[in-house]
Amino acid sequence: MEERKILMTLGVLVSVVLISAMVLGALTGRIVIDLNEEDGINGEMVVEDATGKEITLEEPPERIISFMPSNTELLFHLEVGDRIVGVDDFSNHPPEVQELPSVGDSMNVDYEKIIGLEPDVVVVSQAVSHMRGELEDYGERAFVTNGESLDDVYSDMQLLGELCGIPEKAEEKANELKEEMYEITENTRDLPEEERVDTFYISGAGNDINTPGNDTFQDTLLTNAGANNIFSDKQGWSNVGEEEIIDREPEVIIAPEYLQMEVKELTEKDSWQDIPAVENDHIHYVDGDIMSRPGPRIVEAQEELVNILEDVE
Amino acid sequence: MNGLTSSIRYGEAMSHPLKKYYRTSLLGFTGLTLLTAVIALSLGSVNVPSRNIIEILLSRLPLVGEYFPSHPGPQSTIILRVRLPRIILGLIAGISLSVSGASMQGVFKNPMASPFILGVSAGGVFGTAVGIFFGVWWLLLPLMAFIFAMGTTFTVFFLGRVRGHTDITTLLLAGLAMNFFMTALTSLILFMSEPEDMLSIVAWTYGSLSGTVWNEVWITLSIALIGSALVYAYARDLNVMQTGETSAKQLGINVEKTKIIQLIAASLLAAVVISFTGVIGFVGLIIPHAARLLVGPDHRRLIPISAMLGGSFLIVCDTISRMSGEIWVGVITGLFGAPFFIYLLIKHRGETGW
Amino acid sequence: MVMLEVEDLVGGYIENEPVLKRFCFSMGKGEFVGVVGPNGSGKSTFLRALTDVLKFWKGKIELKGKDISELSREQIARTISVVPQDTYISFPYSVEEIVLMGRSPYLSRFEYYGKKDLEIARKYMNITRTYRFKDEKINELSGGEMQRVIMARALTQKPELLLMDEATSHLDIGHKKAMMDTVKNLNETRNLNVISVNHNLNLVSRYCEKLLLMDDGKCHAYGTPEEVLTEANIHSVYGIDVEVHRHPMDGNLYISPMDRTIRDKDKGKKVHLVCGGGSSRSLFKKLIEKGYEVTAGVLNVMDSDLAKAEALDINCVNEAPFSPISKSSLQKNLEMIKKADVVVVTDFPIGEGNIRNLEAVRDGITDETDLILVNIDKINERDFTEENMGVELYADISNKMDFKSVDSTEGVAKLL
Repeated sequence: MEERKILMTLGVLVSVVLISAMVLGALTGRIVIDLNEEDGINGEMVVEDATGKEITLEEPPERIISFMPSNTELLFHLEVGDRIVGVDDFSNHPPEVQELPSVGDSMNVDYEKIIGLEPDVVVVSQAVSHMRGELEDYGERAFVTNGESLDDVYSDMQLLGELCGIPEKAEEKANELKEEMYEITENTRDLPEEERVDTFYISGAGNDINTPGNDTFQDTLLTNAGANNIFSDKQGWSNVGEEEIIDREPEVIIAPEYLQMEVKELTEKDSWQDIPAVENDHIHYVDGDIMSRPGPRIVEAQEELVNILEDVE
Repeated sequence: MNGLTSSIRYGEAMSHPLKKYYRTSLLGFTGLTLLTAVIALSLGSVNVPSRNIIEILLSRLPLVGEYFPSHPGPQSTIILRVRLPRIILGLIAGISLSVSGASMQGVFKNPMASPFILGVSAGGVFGTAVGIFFGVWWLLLPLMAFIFAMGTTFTVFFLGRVRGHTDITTLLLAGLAMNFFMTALTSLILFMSEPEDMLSIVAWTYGSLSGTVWNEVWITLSIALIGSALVYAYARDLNVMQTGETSAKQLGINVEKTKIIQLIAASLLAAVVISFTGVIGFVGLIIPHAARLLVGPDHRRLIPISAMLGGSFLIVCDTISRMSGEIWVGVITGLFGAPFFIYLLIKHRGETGW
Repeated sequence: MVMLEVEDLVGGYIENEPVLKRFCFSMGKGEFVGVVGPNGSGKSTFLRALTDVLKFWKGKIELKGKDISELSREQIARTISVVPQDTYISFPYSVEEIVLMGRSPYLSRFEYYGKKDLEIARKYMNITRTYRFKDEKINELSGGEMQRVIMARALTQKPELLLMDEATSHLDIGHKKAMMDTVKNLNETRNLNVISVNHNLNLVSRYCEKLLLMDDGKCHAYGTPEEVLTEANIHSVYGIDVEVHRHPMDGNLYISPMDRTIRDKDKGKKVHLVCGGGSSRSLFKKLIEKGYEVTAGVLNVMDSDLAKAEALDINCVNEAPFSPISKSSLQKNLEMIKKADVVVVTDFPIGEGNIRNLEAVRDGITDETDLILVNIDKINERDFTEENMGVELYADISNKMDFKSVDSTEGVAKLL
């Protein structure tokens, strides 16, 4: 009597599992096969992205979704901005971008929207590389750029150029940019240490004060502009304490505009009054966007920095 | 006490209103859950007409599928690859968390018990934080979360063993301690992290069903089935244990075995869910209460009803999340859950016997 | 058939601190045994060892001839069930659900309660008179009702041996009796073995045919209530002095504790009581408690005052029933009176048979004697001699010396 009941229950359990497995298996199995054909995975064009992964297209993409502001700007710089059909919330330049549909931001990706826009490719950067897996599972192509250092600006430009079928133009534009950057920093990039200006760049000022260290592209920009980043001994972006700042006696403080209020509060503190930068009122604000995006507008950023530091001399 | 006779019918009707109609209620709630899933399928940031949805689904059936248009392209991708797995995972997660919560509340005989009481969530968050901090390959993140979640639970387990048997009070305290410890460690990692990573880690603490893919569904489903089956198999034992461990032993129940099986199954259920979705709170805490109010404390009924209530609840919350710009689903469950909990507290103040 | 055999059981809760120290016990089929003993003597520990809740360290327990360590939990639960002192259930299970839990040892993992189980539960709910609130929530019942439900659950286990671990301790006297009656009934009609651990010595001696007196983890005495509940045993085990009486109506034992000062005979003055016919009331006890050395006389063998005195080991001068006081008795009485520091004459009915007691008082008291006379207002009402000799003798006595007069025996106790 008891055994029968056990068997019955087991039987029911097993059948339920099997049936659901079959149904769901059927659904997924067929999806994978079908969509592969539709996407034309057997296309002719093969491009490699920054991670070395290859994606296949039949022809250069006509519908692109750009998921990082730096990529958006690069694409526009390469004059293929008209192919962009969707952007993330933070892409805001050039102004035409505001009209494009938004597909969320790195924390809240709206995959439905992305799929609904029927892109040929979705361009993301290393910072959100996890999106690749999900995008591919949804049958979309993901193209990853680096988007971290100054050199990435040039290499990403070329990668995107390859992707869009305009490799020569991309190379041209990349070289143009390089030259411009070189020109701007002619007098400042190779300054000896004694002649450099001790600079403190504030990248974050909430509960903690955040500053870029030696492997950030902001550090590269600063160094090229003739600054001595007082925190170049740190790696990446790190939080620093008041005492360290005061101890290293920066001659100039630079911060993005959107941190103006916080920085004002800091420089008005008693403990900060003896810092050379505060004493001599060498506190400058720059456009936050261009200082944090490794995109085509680094030229503007570089120029601004050079000008600021020249004045300090 | 002598109003008893007259209050028999009254008392019955006022609490546990569905006790007499258990089978019907179970059927009803299952139906409700399916209905919720179906409705959720038709909602989203991209509009897909219901007719198309039905046709897309039908076109996938083995034999009759050919007769229905399959609407290839974004519509079918959205339905089959984005919404369907997400809704199913929501269902599985809701079921797992509710069953886990019911089991924990039964073992600890404590209405404050949740699936995370043995440190599953704290361990999972820490595992993810470590993974994100060290730039571990994102595919491995769920595995790290799971390993740390179960690792923390087993540590709590061993701490809670006193002279060869599992002492409930010690377990509770050990769980508390490990929760604090893991949270502190996570804070340390947060402090050392860069802002983007911090945001990822924090987002994980609130849970999200966004980006669900079919693989996640399979893995979760299999473990959820095993976990739920184990909890249910020992449901009657759990009932008897409510009258005291000594009494239960004297009624022939293997108390140690029941405790261990329930706790491990419940932790597994919680751990596997949060490994993929992040920490979704309140479901495991509230849903068993609601179910208990409806059908009474008998775990053989409580568990299936909790499962169905939890599944539909989470689907509803996730749908709201999807429709409002992907607010983390843990926020939505909290916004619903906390007021309901307060309501429960006020209603049953001073009463024993939740 | 031997139901239970316990050999040299050693066990406890903390390592190296055994509570049971080579405890032995054995029980035949259908016996009703009460287990008594001071706190910490191992009574509850013994019960826990029986149901495998406590693992004992040494020794052996055999249940129906099988070693208990070889039996599964369910097997034990089908033979032994327990009614504990109290049960705290805070969940709104219904009474019926609780009682049905008693069927757990008979159900396999996936089985649910069947018709048979419901029948059995119903039967025992009826016997314990709990069926009428079977749908009530258990946490809303009173203590007495809850215990009956737990009893119903224990019986639903269909045990051959029922263990009651101070099951009646928290019940009022009505519920105590009801529960014990139910159990006794089952013991007699269905041969149910019962072991009842209880602090209430009077209760267990009423219901149990055998008693086990435990002390310090061992068996101190085992036998019928009369054999076990002796003043010596109780003094030795509990460390107090008691009186053991037989109830005049039903012959049951009852025990009442006494104060310690009772036995200190060496202290205090000698008080001699001249009494009879029950007139001493509780004076004997009170005087003994105050530490006096009490004597009395002359009392007839049938006299209730004599019984009281003898119960307290008081030295008395006896006389054969229905006889007047003999010369030798009178002599003895006289001597006692002479030796006494205080003489108390109670308001006994005076007759031919004991008139000579008053003579003894008249002749025996000296100037050093304190004399206390009780209720001398209506002497003639209790004087049944011809010629009212009692009144005359009282007059003689009162003329001879000072005395203190009190209205009742309470007054005597207050004076002394």
